[in-house]
Amino acid sequence: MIESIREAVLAGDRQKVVQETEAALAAGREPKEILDLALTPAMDVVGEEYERGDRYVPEMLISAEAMKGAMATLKPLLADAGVEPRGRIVIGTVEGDLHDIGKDLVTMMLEGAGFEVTNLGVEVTADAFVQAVRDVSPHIVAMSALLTTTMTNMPSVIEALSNEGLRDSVKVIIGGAPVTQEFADEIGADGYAPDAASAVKLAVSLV
Amino acid sequence: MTRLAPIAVLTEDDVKRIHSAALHLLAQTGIHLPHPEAKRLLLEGGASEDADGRVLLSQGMVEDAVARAPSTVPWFDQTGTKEVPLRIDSTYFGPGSDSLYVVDRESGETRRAKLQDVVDNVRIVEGLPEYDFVMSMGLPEDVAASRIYPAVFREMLLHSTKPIIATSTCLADLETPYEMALLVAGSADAFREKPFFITYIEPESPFRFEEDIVDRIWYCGEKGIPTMGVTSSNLGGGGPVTIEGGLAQGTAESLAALVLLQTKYPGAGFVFGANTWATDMRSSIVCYGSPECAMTTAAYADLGRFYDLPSWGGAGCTDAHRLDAQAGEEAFQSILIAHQSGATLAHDVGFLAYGSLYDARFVVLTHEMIGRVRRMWRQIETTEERLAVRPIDDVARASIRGEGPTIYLKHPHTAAHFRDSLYLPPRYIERRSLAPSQPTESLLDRLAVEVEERLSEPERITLPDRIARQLQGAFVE
Repeated sequence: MIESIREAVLAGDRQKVVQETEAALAAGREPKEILDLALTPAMDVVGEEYERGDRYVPEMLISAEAMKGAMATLKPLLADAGVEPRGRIVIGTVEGDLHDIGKDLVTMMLEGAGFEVTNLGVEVTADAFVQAVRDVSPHIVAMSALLTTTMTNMPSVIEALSNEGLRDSVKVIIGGAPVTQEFADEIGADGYAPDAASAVKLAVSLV
Repeated sequence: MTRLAPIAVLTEDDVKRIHSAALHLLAQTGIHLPHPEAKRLLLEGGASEDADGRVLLSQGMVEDAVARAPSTVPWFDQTGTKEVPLRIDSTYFGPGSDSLYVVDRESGETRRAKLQDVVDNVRIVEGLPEYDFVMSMGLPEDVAASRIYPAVFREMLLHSTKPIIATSTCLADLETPYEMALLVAGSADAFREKPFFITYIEPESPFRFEEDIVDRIWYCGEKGIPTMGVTSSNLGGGGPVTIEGGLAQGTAESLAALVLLQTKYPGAGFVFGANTWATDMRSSIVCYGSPECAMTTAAYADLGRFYDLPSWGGAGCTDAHRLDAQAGEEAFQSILIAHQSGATLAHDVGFLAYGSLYDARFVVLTHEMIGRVRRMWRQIETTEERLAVRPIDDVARASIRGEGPTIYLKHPHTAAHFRDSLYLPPRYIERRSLAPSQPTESLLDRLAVEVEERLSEPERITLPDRIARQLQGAFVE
């Protein structure tokens, strides 16, 4: 049963993942068991296959979607049982930038890996990031920018978090086509990832 | 996947004129044929002899030979499970043979080829799916000259399952490989039913059919080994300098070989065509990377279509001495044209320095070119599923609503179809996003990694133990 959930996640078969998850619950499996033995390991394999070049973005996304299907059922049960998510993350594309594809990919992969992600959307101002940090108390703030002209808004968010005394309570990670590790170092971010699978690894290493 | 219709470089009129020039050459210039039995057979069959002793072939004999030759020649992989039927408009790519030099993988230097280089390159070709057949590539210096062809043939049996094109310089070069092939096939009948090797036989231009050439062509006819009589009517070298004249001579020479084969062995499998490539007017090398090489491969496909015979050609090779931009442009031009033309056999893929040099990295890169070209030359399918009207509607609405498949990458239609829709290049083709501050290793370095990864796998013998032992214990030493 656990094995067939894993296989269905790898195949990106959302309907089957949901059915098998419900069947596993009905058979007395603990929600945390399903998460730890089936869903999370399957998504780890998805990430590894992507990094090796054997899996492509659309296949990664349908697996993440399938995992989300199971999580809709498991989430309230996990909360009732007092099981915490792997971590909480607030994510958004910075002010002036309307690009959401990369950021949405990262969101799906993070959710697939068991993080609770608050997606603020695009054109997110520094104030909006600050407010979300107050509301959600995330472990990580993730920022995306596709343009060289908008990536310069990333340090403003970090500055705003510092001014509000929130900088030390979160890790800040950044990504997007023009962004580099050097830029992350320069603006005092805690991490940079070049693609969605690496972003998950980075997030795991930071929480 | 259906391929697009072939391009033609010859008009119907061109084909008819080349055909009639070839008939004229065969009837008026004739062939040099010192083989007594062959001469007698042809003279009995309607040929005549001129004052110089040349054998003149009549139009009727040529037409009969064309009519007797099968338009589809069965060809199989060595396991007999995969058929690779030789016919016009099915294009098969593979390497060449008899190159003196290789690029040493460790030092990067050009040196004489050894038998281990043959093994390595055969293993690389075996692992690359766009290669449809294997040839020996190197001419190993560490094998006695008289044993080279049996030795390299054995390595192709031991390390590959792909169909083989074997070369030879004398009858013994064919006899031993044939005996080896029987071990693999199980019996002469089994081989005849599913032949997995064909032979490349090269009569000398212009029109010289020495005794040994006839013996080899007939040996193939007798044993059921599909064959060819590929002359080198190279432009300004073995043939006249004009493409038109080179094609007329090459066509006539190939048809003469066909007459020789069909007169004795009616219905025997034959591949039509010649090497009609450019001769360089400075160095006098035969230019494997010339545009004329690409064009004549396509022209022989047009002529093959006219005769309804599979055609011979070359592709994916270059005159560049190292793997550089010239190598890339020359190899790609001929792979593209060979595939578009519907030529049956496109050999010499991966050759550098006009067939003198092999570099495993180039064998890998040219393989990628074949995949790219096959993707390009595939028919567009305007089915409802592929027109994707529903997914377009889904994403247009979801992207405004902000939920569901808000981007195409998330839509199941993308996951279901990206593999059958987009060309997915291997890892060594650069497609990552640009990060100016990060160093990028060169294509050559990435190809070298690919080669080393493939060769670091343990050597796998592709034959059952018993047969492999028999092969290793006999024939060559």
